[in-house]
Amino acid sequence: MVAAEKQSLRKRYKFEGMLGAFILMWLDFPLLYQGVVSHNSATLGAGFLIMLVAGGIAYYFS
Amino acid sequence: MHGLPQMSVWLWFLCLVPILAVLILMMVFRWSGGRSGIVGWVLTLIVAYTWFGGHLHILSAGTLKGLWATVWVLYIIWGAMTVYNVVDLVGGFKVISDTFTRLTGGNKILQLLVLGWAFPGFVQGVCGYGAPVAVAAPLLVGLGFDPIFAAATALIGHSWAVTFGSLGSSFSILERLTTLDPGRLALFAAFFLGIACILCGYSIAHMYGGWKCIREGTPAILLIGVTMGAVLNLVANFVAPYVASFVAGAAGLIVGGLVVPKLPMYRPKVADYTTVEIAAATTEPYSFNVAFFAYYALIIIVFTVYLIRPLKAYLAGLINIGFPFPETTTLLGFTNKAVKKYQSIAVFTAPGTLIFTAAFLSYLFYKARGLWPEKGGQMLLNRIIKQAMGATMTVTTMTMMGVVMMEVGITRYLAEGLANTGKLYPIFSPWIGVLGAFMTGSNTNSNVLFTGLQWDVAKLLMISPFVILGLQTSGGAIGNMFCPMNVALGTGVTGQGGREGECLRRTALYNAILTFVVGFLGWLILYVFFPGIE
Repeated sequence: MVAAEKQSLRKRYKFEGMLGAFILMWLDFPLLYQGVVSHNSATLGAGFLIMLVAGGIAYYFS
Repeated sequence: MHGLPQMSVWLWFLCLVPILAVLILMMVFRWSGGRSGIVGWVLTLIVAYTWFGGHLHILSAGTLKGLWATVWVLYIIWGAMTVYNVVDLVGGFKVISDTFTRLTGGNKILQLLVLGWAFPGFVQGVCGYGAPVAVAAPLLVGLGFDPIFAAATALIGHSWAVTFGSLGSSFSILERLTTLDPGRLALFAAFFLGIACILCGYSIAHMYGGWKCIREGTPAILLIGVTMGAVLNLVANFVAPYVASFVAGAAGLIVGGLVVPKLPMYRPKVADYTTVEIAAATTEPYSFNVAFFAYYALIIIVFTVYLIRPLKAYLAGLINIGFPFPETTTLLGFTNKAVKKYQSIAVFTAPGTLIFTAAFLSYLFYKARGLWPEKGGQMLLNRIIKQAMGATMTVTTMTMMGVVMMEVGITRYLAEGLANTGKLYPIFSPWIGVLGAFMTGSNTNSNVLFTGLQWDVAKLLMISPFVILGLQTSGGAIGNMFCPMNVALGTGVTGQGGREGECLRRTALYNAILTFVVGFLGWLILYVFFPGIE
């Protein structure tokens, strides 16, 4: 039952999920870029974490 | 090896894991490119962090550079989808399909060879960067071919023309990065690619209908292939390497379009007449030229911008978008120099801009002729967004994986491992080119990455650098049919986003055969027929 619900959630929002992940990656670009240019570990860490989350969303919905 | 771990077999194979994982997930488990790419990216991060001294700074820089590098490809994909859908919305593909059916006497092999082999080669001659695939694959779909098959055909069909295509951008890198005689460099590159050209024709025929199709298609393949291969060699050696693919593709189009259909074996047989007659009898709402307007516009725009050099130089200098990146170094000391503008995009000469311009002009043209449907704009937008998402995720994740691998030295490590194969090196040399194209989606970038390495190995083994660099760039060209970025482009423009694995499965075998053949030829030249050749 849970698996079926999961499947349908993934299928139903497949497009929206992928679009959301793609947008999140690009929204994260300025933050991560700032971290790369300024060598700021906190900014880098936060930016990279968001990128991983976006990757996770993309993985789930792709 | 400066900045890289000590060479060992187990670590070398470990470096292959992200690539193998992507290939297996896509080709065996039929995962989408986007999903497989994410797995590949994460595995790359783990290998880079654990064994290559990849720290947060360099991993972030690699990921960001990868993300930025996707813009160029996505711009082409979205543009090509727009052109395709504009033509499709006015029913243009029905007209194009009927016309080609008549011209080729309904012969599918001829349609494939002309539109899937000579035509992409011709377009590649002037404007590469995926544009040939983006243009040819939808046309084949319009002719009734299976979309995945159409994408694979265009991918195979354009690969032979890549090195001397885009007005020689990939070849010019070989010239720039070495102090070797450009004429002799062109000699071997053109020789290997000429052979690859003929094999591309055979690959397409085999993919379509196996050995039966090869038997039926051989006269056409030989006539078109030998013409294109010979012209490629003649122009590259005696005229200018920069226009070799363009002239060869044009020659192939002329022979394939005008000469081959007149051969007795390709005239329609009695049983085929029905199809041809149906196509002829169908009342077409407008002419072929009207239906094909979008592609005429595209060809004219591309040729105008790329062939009139002062115009291209002027437009290229107008707006350039790119980001500066600082120098990055792994904990082991592998360094990437700082860049002022990483992979900058010259907005007005970017293929995406030219494709979108063609789409806009076509829209105006069809609207003026009263062919544009009501609410066409909304339908167009909906279609593009739905079709583009799968390809977009594939390109994004694969490029992030590829660039991180390059930034921390994994790609270099893999190539240096292959360089340890001694006398068998010529056989492996084109695989390094393929690896570069696979990771970057580009023959030019593959040459940027590995020209130095291949040249060094040739000097070390005391074999001809001209042959080895010919193999490098040939592998880089052939690898274009197999790299996930191009495959995503092919599936994207045919509306099959998410089915990249199926497309990869189709091109994998031919990629391997072609790469092996050119490598083996190189080995024969160096160690059997002309040992000691310079």
